[in-house]
Amino acid sequence: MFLTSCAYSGGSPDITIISVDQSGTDQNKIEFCSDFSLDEVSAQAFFERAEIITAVKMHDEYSYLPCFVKGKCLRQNTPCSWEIRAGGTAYLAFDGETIIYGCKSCSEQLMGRN
Amino acid sequence: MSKLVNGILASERIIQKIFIDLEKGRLIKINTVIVHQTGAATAKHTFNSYEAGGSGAHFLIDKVGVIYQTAHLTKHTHHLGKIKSKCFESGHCSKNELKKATDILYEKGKSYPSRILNLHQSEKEKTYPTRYPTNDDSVGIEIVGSFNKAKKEYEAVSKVQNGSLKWLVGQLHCHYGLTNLDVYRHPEVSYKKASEASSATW
Repeated sequence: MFLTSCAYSGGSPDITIISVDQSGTDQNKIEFCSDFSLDEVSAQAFFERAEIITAVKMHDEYSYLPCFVKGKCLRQNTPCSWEIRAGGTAYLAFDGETIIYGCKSCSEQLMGRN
Repeated sequence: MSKLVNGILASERIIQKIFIDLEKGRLIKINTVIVHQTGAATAKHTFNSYEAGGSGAHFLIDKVGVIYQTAHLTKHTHHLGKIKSKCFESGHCSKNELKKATDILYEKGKSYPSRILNLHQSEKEKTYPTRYPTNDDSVGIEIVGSFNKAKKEYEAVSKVQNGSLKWLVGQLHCHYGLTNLDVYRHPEVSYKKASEASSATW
């Protein structure tokens, strides 16, 4: 678990990453996911490179891996929460709405720790 | 009952709606059937996507159970994605297979998507049923069903859709000599949301 109190203020005009709150796995794939982590700068970079995609495109073009990192953000000054998955997709939730993102040029952000 | 003629499964229960751009090359051997859900609420949405080519399956079952054939059974389509390691997932790898799979999956300095791609390429060197099915030896069936983004899960497959699925799988069993052991839900073989087709029965 990662807890921070510092806001990362650079980057996307739409999304500002506030914090990284949690990393983990939703299928008990602890060993596989053990080196997947993102800091605020990497999460910001992910959303700057990512595009909004449909559920169909997520199904057709991306792998859904059990590793995730979650945190808080601001989207156009509205509080939001985010979740980036190791396969290159992400969820952004705000005001009862959820958007799916995909990034195919985010290898650097999906590298995991060495 | 149905007849199989030049890759067309002919039956009064099946509407032919072939999308040539979905077809990527010859499908020489059919070993398996893969059951998917579309992630879209209507068949029309998926057909619009098929018009643009790209990914798709051989059949589509719509919300009221109508079956469409969307690609010839003599052609393969891109419906599966990267496959998992069958022996690794089932816990039945030999010592060498286990080392190879873990070396790839836990490789430091590689992104997670590239690890999955490398494992997929390694698995493709095996033959079915030692490995999971690939696009080159499987028939895909899409069931229309939306994805709830807030809950992050697919809607349940309806009774009428499952009835059509059971009939269609039965016809494919008959024509290709398959058994229920050769029918897989998409997330069993590839890295997909576990809820996809989880309520499908056949």
